[in-house]
Amino acid sequence: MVNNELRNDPVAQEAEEALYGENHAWLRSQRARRWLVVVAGAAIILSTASRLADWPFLALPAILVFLASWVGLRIAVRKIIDLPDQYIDERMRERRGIAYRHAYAGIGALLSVIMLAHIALTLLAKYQGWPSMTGEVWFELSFTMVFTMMILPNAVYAWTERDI
Amino acid sequence: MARITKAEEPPVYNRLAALRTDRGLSRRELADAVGVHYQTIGYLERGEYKPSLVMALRIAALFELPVEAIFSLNEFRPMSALLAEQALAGTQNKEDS
Repeated sequence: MVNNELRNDPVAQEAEEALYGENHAWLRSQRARRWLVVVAGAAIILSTASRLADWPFLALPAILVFLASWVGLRIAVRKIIDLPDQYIDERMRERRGIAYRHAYAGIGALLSVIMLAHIALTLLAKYQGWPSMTGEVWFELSFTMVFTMMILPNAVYAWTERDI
Repeated sequence: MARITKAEEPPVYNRLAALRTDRGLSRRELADAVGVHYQTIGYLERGEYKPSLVMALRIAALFELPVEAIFSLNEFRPMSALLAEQALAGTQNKEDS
């Protein structure tokens, strides 16, 4: 797959190692990949809850678990989500396109929910006297968005592919 | 003409596994010769992926066969049945002559 002329290219070498390397093969089973997705999702929820509910003792472990599962997922999907087009074949490009499409829809849905909640809570605070949400809450939620955007394409690919 | 949706597309049958075994090639060797990842050969053999025209033509060129001998929209008959039919036809021809 990787052309001979590109053997000296560090990106090509990384692609070769990612696509054909047998290290961490246990991470590539469908069961392990799905577990990683579940753990990453739980870590995002936990880190959001810990920041919103002011449980600082949970925030750092949740973020560390999230980062570990993100790295694990990238290895499990052979970095296919991040590799340039020329290093992966037509099936991988097609499947990656589908993963990106689902991730885009998922991120769009999450962003819409957050924006609608923002609008609704602002209106309720203005007209019904509800306590207004501080900018800090939206700042914390923006971390959740970033984490979700980081992981979703890898998560969709890892969840849906049979063999990687 | 009504458009065919992805779900309505007919399956593409292939003889890749039989041909690969016949030529003594591993999935990795075939994949390297065609320029794809070895997992893609597995997906093709199981009929879980339909190749592009370029890939189908590359595979056909590698096996030195017409593309329709490897890929078809109709299910292939088992090679053993075809061979038996040919053998039978050969015997009948000899008897006739």
